Amino acid sequence: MAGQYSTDLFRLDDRVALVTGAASGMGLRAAYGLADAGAHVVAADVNSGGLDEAVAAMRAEGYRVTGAVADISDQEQVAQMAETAESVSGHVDVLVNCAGIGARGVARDYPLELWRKVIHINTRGSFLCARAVAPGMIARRKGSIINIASCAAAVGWPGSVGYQVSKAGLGQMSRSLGVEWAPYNVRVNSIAPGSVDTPQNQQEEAREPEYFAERLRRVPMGRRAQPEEVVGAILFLASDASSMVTGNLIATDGGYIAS
Amino acid sequence: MNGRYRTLFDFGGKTVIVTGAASGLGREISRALADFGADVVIADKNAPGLRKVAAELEPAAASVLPCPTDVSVPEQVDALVSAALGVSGRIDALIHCAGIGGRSPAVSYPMELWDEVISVNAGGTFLCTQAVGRVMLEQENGGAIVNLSSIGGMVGKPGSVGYQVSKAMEIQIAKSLGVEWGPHGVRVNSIAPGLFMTETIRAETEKEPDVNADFMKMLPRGRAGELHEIVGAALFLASDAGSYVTGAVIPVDGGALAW
Ligand SMILES: NC(=O)c1ccc[n+]([C@@H]2O[C@H](COP(=O)([O-])OP(=O)(O)OC[C@H]3O[C@@H](n4cnc5c(N)ncnc54)[C@H](O)[C@@H]3O)[C@@H](O)[C@H]2O)c1
Ligand SMILES: NC(=O)c1ccc[n+]([C@@H]2O[C@H](COP(=O)([O-])OP(=O)(O)OC[C@H]3O[C@@H](n4cnc5c(N)ncnc54)[C@H](O)[C@@H]3O)[C@@H](O)[C@H]2O)c1
Repeated sequence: MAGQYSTDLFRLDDRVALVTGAASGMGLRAAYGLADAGAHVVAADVNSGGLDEAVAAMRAEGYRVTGAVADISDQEQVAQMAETAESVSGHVDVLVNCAGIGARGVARDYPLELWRKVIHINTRGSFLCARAVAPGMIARRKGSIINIASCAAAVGWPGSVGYQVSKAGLGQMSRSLGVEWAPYNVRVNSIAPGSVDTPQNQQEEAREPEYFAERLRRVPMGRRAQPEEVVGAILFLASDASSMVTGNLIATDGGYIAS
Repeated sequence: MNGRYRTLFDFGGKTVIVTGAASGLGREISRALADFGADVVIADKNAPGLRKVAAELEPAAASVLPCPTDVSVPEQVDALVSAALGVSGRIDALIHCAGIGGRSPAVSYPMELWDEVISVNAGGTFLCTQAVGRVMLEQENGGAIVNLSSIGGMVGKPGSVGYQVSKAMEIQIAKSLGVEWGPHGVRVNSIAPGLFMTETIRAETEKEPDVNADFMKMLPRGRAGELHEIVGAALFLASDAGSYVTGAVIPVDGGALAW
């Protein structure tokens, strides 16, 4: 049947999409992308100043967006954030878990405090967010949860064991929840970006230029990604275009994992 | 150089720590190490169980040192490493088998259970790996570290998200540190068991017969592993036979993952 498909496949009209880490980097680009696809975006971040700015800028451009200040590692704040999102129109259709921190350090001396913190935010925090929106999604038999993991969920590199463990945990969380909630049509997937040109990445690169240059040399496409290059994967996973995709990890890494 | 391969799996004169040695797979691996002539340092938080295993191993092993240890407590792990160093002044291998399960539906997964399973399984693995790694990085000829993760850290199964996340973290520890320490002669690898009928799994199966019945259907060999079938992979990775293997995961799962 010719003409069956159009870019409507990727539309998110009338849907509500909650994005954490939306004040900066990929989360901010994700918020714009989801809004361009027609979603009402609920933008969440712990950085209230940055979030206000982002929300104001989006509103000025005519987007429908609601801000929610929340620390994803705090269960009560997460519950409140989910409530804010539900109150937009009674349903949350998409969650993008993009809030996260880096944590470099050699393993020999890796401080236990840093180990605990990065797992607490990146893995446990994302689980809290998934759990906060899941009951509604399960009840409505519809939902898509997207976890921004990292290449580090699949391969090892020196000097950030805690970060990598936190992201491997997030990748596995997507598989576990993807399988467990599949019968309810709640899909859970993760995206594995490589090096992306965001504030987080720029700060780390300024501290360790050689290490980042070496990593870049290993990227088959020979460059780092722009933050907007993750948006395509997010819209695919958020929309009905991926209706049979769950428990998966999609790499947007210029071929890094494959090589 | 005829005969050079006769000592490939030798453990004579080698000091090896096995955690989780009071029960199941850790006990079985300790038995094998004793037979292969190692000085075996066995650790577990179950002190009476540990004493029983020590008594059983004594006739075969070069030496046996039982060290009651909670692997999730940094001070106790440090004490374990000090005690092990008392045997011969070096630690040639660590085989980390201590671990706990954590079953519960994700929607109502108690955060206390999540914290416990992450802290014991992933945190315990990291603490032991880091503490032993510090010794191995300084000593001549490095050493080998093996952890027992699970195929549940690679694929999703309903009903144990926290456990599975913790196991993916253990796998990532092997990948990250395998890469970080490999160039310095310290190899880190993981074994991902499928289903082995240890006392713990037997008890779990009695409580929830369906869980493992479903799992059994995944197995091309149609049966759970016998305890002795874990031993080969552990001795391979911990001995000189595995000298070029680091950052790897070996499933010992009767083909479940491949099917
Ligand atoms: N930039 C990269 O190269 C790269 C590569 C792979 C994965 N990632 C992951 O992608 C995600 C986004 O990264 P980015 O580069 O855009 O980072 P970024 O630092 O630009 O943005 C992260 C945002 O998350 C927010 N945040 C941090 N902790 C939070 C908390 N506890 N609660 C709520 N918000 C919190 C920050 O305030 C910030 O606005 C992160 O999870 C990161 O680990 C980034
Ligand atoms: N048996 C299986 O089918 C199977 C499958 C996949 C993975 N595994 C993994 O293999 C490992 C061994 O499994 P098993 O079936 O032999 O289990 P088991 O329960 O028989 O033995 C585990 C041992 O670890 C000890 N332990 C638990 N917490 C500890 C702590 N904090 N400090 C010190 N010791 C602690 C226990 O006392 C016990 O003696 C575990 O990590 C398990 O997750 C087992």
